[in-house]
Amino acid sequence: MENMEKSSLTAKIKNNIIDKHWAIAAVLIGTTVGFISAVICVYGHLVVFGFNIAFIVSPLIAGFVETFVARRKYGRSTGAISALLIFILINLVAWVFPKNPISLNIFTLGGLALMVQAAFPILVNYLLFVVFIGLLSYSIGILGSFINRLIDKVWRKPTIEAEELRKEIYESDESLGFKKLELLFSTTPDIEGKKITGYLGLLSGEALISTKNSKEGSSGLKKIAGRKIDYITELENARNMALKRLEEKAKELGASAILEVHINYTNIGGIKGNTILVTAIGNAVKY
Amino acid sequence: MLFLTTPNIEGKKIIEYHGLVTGEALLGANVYKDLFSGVRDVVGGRTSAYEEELKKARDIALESVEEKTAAMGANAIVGVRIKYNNLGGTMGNTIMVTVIGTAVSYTEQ
Repeated sequence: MENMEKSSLTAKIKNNIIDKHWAIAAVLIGTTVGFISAVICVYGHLVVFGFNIAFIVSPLIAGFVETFVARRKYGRSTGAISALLIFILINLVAWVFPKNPISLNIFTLGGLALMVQAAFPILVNYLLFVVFIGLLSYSIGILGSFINRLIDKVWRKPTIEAEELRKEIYESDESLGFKKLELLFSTTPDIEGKKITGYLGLLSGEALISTKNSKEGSSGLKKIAGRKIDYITELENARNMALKRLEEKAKELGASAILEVHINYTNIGGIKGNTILVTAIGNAVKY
Repeated sequence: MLFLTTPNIEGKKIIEYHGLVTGEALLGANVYKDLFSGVRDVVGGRTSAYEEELKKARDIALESVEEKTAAMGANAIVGVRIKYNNLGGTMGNTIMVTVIGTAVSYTEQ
């Protein structure tokens, strides 16, 4: 029994190896070519700014050759394993057994960065473009809001307290709120107990809000003329405005209800995306 | 409170429509959480920190809908839709969860 299991296991491993022999060959070929290129670089003294180009070039060559062979023979990429192997090998040789040790200066650091980039492209590109730029813009944002606050404190004396303003806005929100909507708005396709006698067509109402400078730190507060209000209040206002416009159009047509109402929030500001379009769509009906 | 995505309640009769109710919640995604979720995007796997935050935001939005509905004197919300909107541009660090539905009163038939 045990023997059977063992033999089936070894058979499985064998099959696996046979299946992937081209992948393994690709990795081996890539590693060999990378190693040869490194040897050529070292013995040819191909040095730029006191930094042997083998660090950068060899993993790249290894990865390229491996991928090339794998694509041709195996059908898909093997993930540049040889680049990683060569990277580790070269670094072991260069850092652990130094014949002429590497001195750290700005060029070797730059070279190191490039080398790491060649070996782990996805991770390094992510760190470079998302994390670094993200942290940079975040810290600039914090600095900006700090300076803003400082300027506010020193020069501007707020005439209206933030609370008062918020109240004001909530009241204006009330004036546009659902209590003031005269028609029946519903998300359902029909009204139970009522008979729809006529469809007046698809109507829409839109409202735009700008969220420029809205990201004050992480609190999501917007500044209007030096005062802060809640971002969400702003959004609610826009939504109510869109619904109000929808209602006005429906009233003009003589509708008595708007069914299947959808509200969409769309970001239309391009890359920085600081304009939000709020649209309300519905079917105007008579019942 | 009865939340339904269907337009009707079977076996019950809707006697009054109170109009739209909406609830919103903004989720200002934390830069560090963002960072790790990005790493997990590369590495693979679930980003539970984000999931928790999304769940929290959705719960807040649903709760505010429930409160408003109760204030209207309705006892159910039909035709409920939940949407997740991205408001942050390329960096995408503000997510808005919106809930919209119709407040109704129903009775046993």
